[in-house]
Amino acid sequence: MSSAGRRRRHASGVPVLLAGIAVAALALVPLGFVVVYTVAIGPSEGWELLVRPRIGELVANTTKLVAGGIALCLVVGTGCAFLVERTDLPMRRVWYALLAAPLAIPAFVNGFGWISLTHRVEGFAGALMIVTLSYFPLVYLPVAASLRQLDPALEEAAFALGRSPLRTVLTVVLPQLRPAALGGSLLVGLHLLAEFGALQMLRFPTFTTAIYDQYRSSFNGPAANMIASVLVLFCLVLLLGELRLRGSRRYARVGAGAARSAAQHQLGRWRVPALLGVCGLAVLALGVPAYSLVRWLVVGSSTEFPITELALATATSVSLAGVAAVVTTLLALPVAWLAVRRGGVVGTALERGTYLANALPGIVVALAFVTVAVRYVQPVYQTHVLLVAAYAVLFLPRAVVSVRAALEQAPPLLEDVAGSLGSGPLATARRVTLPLILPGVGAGAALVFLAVVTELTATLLLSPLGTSTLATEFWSRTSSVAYGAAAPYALLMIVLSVPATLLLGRQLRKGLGP
Amino acid sequence: MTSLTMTGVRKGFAGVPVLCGVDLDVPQGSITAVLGPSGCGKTTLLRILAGFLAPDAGRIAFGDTVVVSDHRHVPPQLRRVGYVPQEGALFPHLDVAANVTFGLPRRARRGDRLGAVLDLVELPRALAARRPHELSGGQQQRVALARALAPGPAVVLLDEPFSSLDAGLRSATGRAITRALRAASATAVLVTHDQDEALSLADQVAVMRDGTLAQVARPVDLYHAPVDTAVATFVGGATLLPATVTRSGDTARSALGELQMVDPLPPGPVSLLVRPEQIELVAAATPATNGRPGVEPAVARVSEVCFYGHDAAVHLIVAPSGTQVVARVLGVDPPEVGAEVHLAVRGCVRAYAAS
Repeated sequence: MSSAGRRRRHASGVPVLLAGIAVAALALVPLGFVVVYTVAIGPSEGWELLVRPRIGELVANTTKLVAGGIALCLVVGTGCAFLVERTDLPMRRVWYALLAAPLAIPAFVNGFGWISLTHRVEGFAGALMIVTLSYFPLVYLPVAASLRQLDPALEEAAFALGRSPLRTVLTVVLPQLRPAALGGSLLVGLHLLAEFGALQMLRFPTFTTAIYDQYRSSFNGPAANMIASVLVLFCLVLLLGELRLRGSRRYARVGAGAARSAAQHQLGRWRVPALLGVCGLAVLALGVPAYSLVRWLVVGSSTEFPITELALATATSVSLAGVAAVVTTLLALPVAWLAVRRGGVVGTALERGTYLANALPGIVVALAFVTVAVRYVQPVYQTHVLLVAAYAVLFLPRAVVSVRAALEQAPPLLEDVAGSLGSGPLATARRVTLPLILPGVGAGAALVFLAVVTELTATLLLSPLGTSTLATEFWSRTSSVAYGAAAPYALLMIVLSVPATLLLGRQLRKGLGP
Repeated sequence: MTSLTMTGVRKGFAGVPVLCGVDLDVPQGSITAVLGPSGCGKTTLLRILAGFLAPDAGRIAFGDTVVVSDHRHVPPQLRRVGYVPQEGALFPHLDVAANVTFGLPRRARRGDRLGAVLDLVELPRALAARRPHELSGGQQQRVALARALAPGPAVVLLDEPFSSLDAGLRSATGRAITRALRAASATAVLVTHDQDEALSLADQVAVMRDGTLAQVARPVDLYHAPVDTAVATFVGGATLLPATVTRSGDTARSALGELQMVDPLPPGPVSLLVRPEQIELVAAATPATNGRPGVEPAVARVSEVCFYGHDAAVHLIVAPSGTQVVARVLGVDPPEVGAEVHLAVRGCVRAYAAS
């Protein structure tokens, strides 16, 4: 049929589809690089590169850290969520916000806070503690949200059937928290596999730090790339788990929030220990790095306020982040549009393709972009274009999630209604669709902006010579143990990432995940 | 306001036919209900009328203006249709005033049209500054209608506008909306799956079945003279009695006795349509006075009584055949379960070829 309506639909569909495919292709460059490289190097040489005592140590370290970190975050995050949402803990509102706050402190700044006070945190135990303190909110926030949305009627039904409160928690409440808790802990796992700065500072070698060292010391391509392949394998294992969870997770309907608040458990004699527990956690996760930063700012012998350098680094960080935010959001638009409006196999596959990149550590993405640029697109090597492209791939999922949620707020029915009221396609976009999606699109852009400001790994590998950002300046000063000089950069990064944390916290509470 | 004509409208999705040649005339200033079970294609029909979908074939005209033909597909924004979707679909970022005046030219948005249409749908003007989420479901539907009526559309299309409302609100909102449509002397098409809604609100009811219109008629005619037994049972409670047409050709013999038919038929087996309110219950002790003279009244036992207050549905088993029938009686004095009663049939009945 050659009806005008159908022609219109097709005409607007094809360019969006092509754009979506192009974006997904870009997002898949790092994974493609790793796969192609691994295949090309062949099994025998790959085996030789891998079977060395050093690799064994890295596998052990990485596994230990990821397993331990997930387990600790799960316990701490779920415990905190339960205390804040379901008990009569004093000052619950304050704790609610304070326990989410560690997200505002990049893990490498947290590591800096501790290591600059005492070298006793070096090694596995210290690393485990510090990554847990940095990443437990990734479990805490979704579990708290899940607890709040639970229908109290289920618990009441269990009570009515004669279950004790403790057994009700174990048999009715906990199973329902499973999707949120597991989703959050997989997020923790992916962050731990990608973590570089904190672990390097604490001298606990994992795959990520090893790749960086190989790359920096010898530009030893094959070895670094081979370790990257193993790291990607670790990520894929975690990601498969996450995808399975996502598939089976039921999203809460809008406005489905329970009208009644759920039963509050009386802490009784556990009140003081519980309070001391959350207090201690806040001191360790927020107090220590804050104290350390302030101390280095105030009393550190090397403290100086090189205003020009600080301003320059801030300006570079902010402008890079601004460009990356705009580019990433623009790239997210066709992907989110296809996922929401087209759906089906193609839309979902493209959306998932962009998520896949999120699972890859910054170091792998950076390595892939360096190698691909050097070999195939030499002119962009050592330029800001390459850096921004890497940022876009790394943080595309954050933008896609936000834009997607925004588009879901603007159902096509509203556009139909506007059309029937005499409004043409352009007018409808201006008067209905844009006003509805702009807040969400803006939030996505803000999330990308603030993620870029505190990004360290890819920035270290990809920033052109002579480009100094807050993160790279901070890094070079801590590497030369100039803690006092590093402190102002860390403080600026924290200040810049506070709004992002508020936004991210809101998304995690809604159960979306970054 | 204009009339609406559609002829031979066809539409399929991925090779599966949904509409198989729909013909419908909606006279100017009247309300037509398209009644059908869910999935029968009625929403597709409405979306084609609005211009959101293009039919595979067919012709649609609003008055003298052809909006759909083989060579023509007028886009929705040029059709001047008022569309009221199921959940109202008010623009969430705009207040009531901005929603209602959305379809007006910029200059007219500040004028008195807003107040006039709010009056029309019986909403207080003070509501104009509210946001959609601050309104009740019924109010949202009225605002959606006000928004559709404001630009003075040629045709108003309503897609199950009351189905998301609870029972009490539903009939009140339904009546208010039809009052507003009549006050605006609008030509309207209302899609619904609710028989009571269709019969009570519309001037004309089109029963949709398997992608075609099985019958288009006034509500009274549809209820009393359905084209076949399927339409008969769809639009209301009905008992289909097996019967045999007598030699005279104008009565038929059934478990309820010899009943007068509306139209004479040649002798042979038929199905008789008996509406529950046609069956009268007479206490077995008193002799039936209003039965036809010389005919024994049928005897039945009450098997079940569904009491609704204003009336009651009485399920009966007719002796000796065991035929089950349902009678609707006033709620003042319903019979007890197990009671034996005499049955009489009020008025003539309609006969259909036995299936």
